[in-house]
Amino acid sequence: MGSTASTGWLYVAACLAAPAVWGVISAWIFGRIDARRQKTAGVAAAEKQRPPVDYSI
Amino acid sequence: MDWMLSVGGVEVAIVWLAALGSSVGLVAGMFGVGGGFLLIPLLHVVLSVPLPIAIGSGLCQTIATSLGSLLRYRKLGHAETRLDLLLLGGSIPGVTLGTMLLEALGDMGSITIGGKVIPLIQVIVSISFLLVFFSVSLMLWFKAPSSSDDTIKPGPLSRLQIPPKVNFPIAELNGVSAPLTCYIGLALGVLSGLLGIGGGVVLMPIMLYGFGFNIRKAAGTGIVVILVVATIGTVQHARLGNVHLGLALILMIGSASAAQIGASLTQHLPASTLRRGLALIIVAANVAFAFKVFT
Repeated sequence: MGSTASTGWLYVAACLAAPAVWGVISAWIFGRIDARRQKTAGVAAAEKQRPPVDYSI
Repeated sequence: MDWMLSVGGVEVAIVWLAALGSSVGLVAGMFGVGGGFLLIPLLHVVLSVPLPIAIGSGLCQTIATSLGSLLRYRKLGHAETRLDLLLLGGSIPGVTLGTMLLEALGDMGSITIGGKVIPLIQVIVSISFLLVFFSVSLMLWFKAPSSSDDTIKPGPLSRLQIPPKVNFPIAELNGVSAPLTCYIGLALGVLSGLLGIGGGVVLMPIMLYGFGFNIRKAAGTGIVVILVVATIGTVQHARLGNVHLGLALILMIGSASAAQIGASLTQHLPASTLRRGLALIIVAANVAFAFKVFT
């Protein structure tokens, strides 16, 4: 009986802690995605700004 | 011929069930919500369906309505998937907690209020319904979401400084607290498990006034969360014997067909009338529910 009650409370504690863990992991993943997107956008912008090669010589 | 359905020891006329499902579907279609906030009190007040069965079967019916909405809104591509994912992290454990809470309340017996013996489960559920939906109604009545489609104004929840933070690119909101969003999902899940509502009617004001979502982007967001929460909640309530498939099926058929009529009626009414109409309906249903429980 006692072990059932303590298992129940452990389950409740896990349910209460899970959102915080999920939030931290999601923020890390979304942060990585944003950083990669910014890097790709930066490379694309630099490519655009490069002057055209003059092949006339 | 009077066809009856036995629901938790109560004989309910199928024609009344279909009529109730259609009425709720009409209102749900008009306001773009699932209708659980209306269905659960009405099942208990009008048809005397036992509260745990009304809650379990109501959640089961929400699976069909949210699936329909998901298919409709998926084509528009406006949903903020990141918010959905964060909310899911909280709402999945939340619906488990809500169901456990309902089960525990069912075992707690009764209390005496004004000489009347009332099961504690009915007292807690009706008070929760009143508190949650009265605040939702007040927000709907007094606060209008931004009418301009282009203005993004971060709401109070978007400005809270609790790290780590995430950006919502589709909703154009930056620096929103990830753990806070997950705990909002947890609260929504608890409400779903405890009250049998999909949670759309609570989530919508949170997105509009709490986060500052644009109304078009808010409409497509959260449907996945409601679908997942309703499915998990239904399975857990079914385990406790709270889901009556026949009841859920009749409600589904009635509400799905009437929701289409409700959605077409919306185009002829101004937005402010719709908002205030929904607020009045919510208050009326919940006051009737509390009146039935306490008198």
